[in-house]
Amino acid sequence: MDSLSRTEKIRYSRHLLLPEIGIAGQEKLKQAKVLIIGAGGLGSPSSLYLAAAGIGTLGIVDFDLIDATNLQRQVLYDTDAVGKSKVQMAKERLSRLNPEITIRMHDQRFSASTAKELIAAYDIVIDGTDNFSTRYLVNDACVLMNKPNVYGSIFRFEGQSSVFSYAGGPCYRCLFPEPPEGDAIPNCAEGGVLGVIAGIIGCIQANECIKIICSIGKTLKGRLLLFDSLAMSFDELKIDRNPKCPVCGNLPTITELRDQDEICASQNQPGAPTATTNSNRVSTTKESTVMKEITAIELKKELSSGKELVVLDVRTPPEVALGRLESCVHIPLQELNQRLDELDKEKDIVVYCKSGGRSRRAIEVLQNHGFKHLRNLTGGITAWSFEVDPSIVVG
Amino acid sequence: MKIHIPSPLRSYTKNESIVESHGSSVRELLQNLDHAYPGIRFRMIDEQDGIRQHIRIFVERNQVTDLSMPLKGNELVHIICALSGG
Amino acid sequence: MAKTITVLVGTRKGAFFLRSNDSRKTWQLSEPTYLGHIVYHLVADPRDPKHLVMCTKAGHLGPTVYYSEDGGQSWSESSTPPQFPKQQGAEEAKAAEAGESKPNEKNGKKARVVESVFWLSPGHASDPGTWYVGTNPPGIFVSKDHGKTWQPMTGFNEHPMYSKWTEMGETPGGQLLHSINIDPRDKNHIYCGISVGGVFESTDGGADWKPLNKGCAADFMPDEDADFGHDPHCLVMHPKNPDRIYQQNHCGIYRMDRPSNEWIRIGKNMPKEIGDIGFPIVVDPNNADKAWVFPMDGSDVWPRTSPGGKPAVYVTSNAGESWERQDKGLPPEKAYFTVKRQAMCGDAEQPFGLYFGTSQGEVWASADEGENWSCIVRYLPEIFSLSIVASD
Repeated sequence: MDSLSRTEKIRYSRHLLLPEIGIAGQEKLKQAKVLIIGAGGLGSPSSLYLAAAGIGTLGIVDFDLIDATNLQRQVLYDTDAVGKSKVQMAKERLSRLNPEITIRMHDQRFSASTAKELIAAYDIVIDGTDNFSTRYLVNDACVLMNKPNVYGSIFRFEGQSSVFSYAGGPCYRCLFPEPPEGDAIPNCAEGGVLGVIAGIIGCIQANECIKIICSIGKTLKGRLLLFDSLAMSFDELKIDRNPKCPVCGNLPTITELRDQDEICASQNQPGAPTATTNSNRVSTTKESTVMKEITAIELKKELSSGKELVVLDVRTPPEVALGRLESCVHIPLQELNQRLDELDKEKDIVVYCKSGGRSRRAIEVLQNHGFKHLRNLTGGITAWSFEVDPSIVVG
Repeated sequence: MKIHIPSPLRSYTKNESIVESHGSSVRELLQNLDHAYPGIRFRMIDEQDGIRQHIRIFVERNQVTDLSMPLKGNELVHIICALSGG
Repeated sequence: MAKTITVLVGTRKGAFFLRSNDSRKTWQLSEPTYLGHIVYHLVADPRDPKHLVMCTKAGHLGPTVYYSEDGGQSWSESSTPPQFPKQQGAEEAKAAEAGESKPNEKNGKKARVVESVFWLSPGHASDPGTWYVGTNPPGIFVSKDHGKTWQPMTGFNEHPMYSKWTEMGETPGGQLLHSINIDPRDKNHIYCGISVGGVFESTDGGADWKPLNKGCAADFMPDEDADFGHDPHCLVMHPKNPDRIYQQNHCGIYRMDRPSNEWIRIGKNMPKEIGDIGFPIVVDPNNADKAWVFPMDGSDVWPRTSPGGKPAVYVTSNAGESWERQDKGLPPEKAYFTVKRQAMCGDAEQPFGLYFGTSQGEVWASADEGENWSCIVRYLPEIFSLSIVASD
């Protein structure tokens, strides 16, 4: 147990006077590791207050340089820091503010490839991002890593905050399952924002973070706080955990991280066919490997004809428990890499999942390991249930 | 009853963030809202009566999933959009 | 005083007007209109250029259409934007789907919802005020009142073959209906394109439709001789010789000379290292044998950028027998342009002027039929469409 030094006791004496925090709470703050993603409008006030509050380890992720237009709200930075690295300047400022704590700099873009590793080293994440693609990535990473995600966002004179992925509560996708198309929604750079809003919402995030660490009060879990600075009103809406949520629902379809940017970028390019539905169709995945498809009806025909086929189900065990194709082999997508030896490279394999997405990824995995006779069941078991066997329950 | 309008829809409400309307169900409320602010409904609700993907409607702080939800007349209604800024 | 040439620019973040008062030498950019809204297409009425129509969408909000009656100074929203008829039982299905993003289905039939209004075409000269739009998912809608109200073209949208024609799946931008061409000799003769779906033709004002894809490759399909399922990117009918139609397809450049119903792949005459893939195709209004394309890289993962990073326009003066490269003034290397299907157009001046807009927000213009190019504006948002209007 890290006990507090005399200097720390003096520094944090106003906390120590609060019975809800006290020595025990302050020690929890000291042991806590908090990752702030985005050192901008929201990250500035939250990092300043969390540093001052004595969070033992504060991680800051950002890849940007300080721009003169940031200074109106990003109070971490001084005017002469324009052009310098945000995380570098943040570290200097926060270290001066509180030399008792550890500041870790992560001078990088928060991306799918590094998200899990980064988040793994922390207890709580503060979402201070300024775009939907990173926001959804933060949400998904927190759900998959089971870390509380203290959410905040601002636009013009409005702000929102909540606590996601915490103690059985909902996540951002429970409310808005998919991000808006590309960069279609105006951001602060386009629509503007009152600088103070960033301060207010960022402080609310810091407040929620401290409450979670000290297990005090009632957090914003399951509540979306709405702030309207012109009306000067706070309101809140109830958000329930959505059992159909694509990432934290009962049968999640998002089980690994992916950069939304890639998805959005490809959506911006109208004109390429992605799939066809004639017999023996081929579809082109993102990586453009040619993939053979088979419809449910054709598969039924081939199975009835006695043709030797391996039917591979790559869904999760609870999905399979609800209903599956007779005589299928079941290897969840996540275990596929470790269980390749259970499959015969020479045999014809038809892969399916719920609707065809995960099975395509499975086929890519198998192709990479030298499997050749692979086909994807178009529309997955959903199509099978629809076209061949309605008695099968699809979760 | 009072309806909170999110900023992307305020071009329809002459920039008002809170407007008054009435209706015995959410469907009727949105129809009346559309009479007062022509065009606003279709931007939120598609032609099959589905609530568009990036719009959410709350009555008395609870999310609306069915437009036939009855209203007493004194509820607080929020229409919200996802915000991205930070 | 010289007349004013205006390039109407539709971008991912609003509409812009680029004007020249000095015979296309210098250009002034307007302030944005509907900043922050996605503008897929913005067109002035060739029959009466004070009427403009623009199809848009906003990040959170559904698709709609705006129209102007004063040359773009003020805009009104369509009181009935394009929308499919409400399907019985759709609500229940939708309620059951609440919180899930996939399209709702009832009894196996999709209840269609217009996701975006993508393409705009003014109607026949004898039909003032008539406009057509193409949508995603594929649909044609008609306005008879300059864009104020829109009705579905039932003959297409409810065609008995509709579900077959459109079942091929989406392209990355959705399944788009585009390139609505009205025969100037006969307002009942209409062509359109669907990616993915193919080229379709109606000879009875849209009451019935037939696929028109013979000879067109579709190497992404198992059955290359299929009647439909092809991926036209852009289809253009010559205004003075409407029997001549050109098509830039996902699989090559084609020409058809009616009454023949077979596409001829004129893209095979393009240099091998360039290929014949692209989005737009533009014809010379005074010469049916002359057409321009903007080739893009369609190899493996479809970069859709200029082949080799060296942007160029290719022109044919003999209906596709041969092609010449036009790249004077364009970056000689290290430039990766993407030009969308609505983002290349010509004017009605002498000599013929050509324009293209890139997904990086630049507009390039040539006042001499593509011989010399210059960039007339930079730093716009991603460009979806260009069209021209001239006024005295």
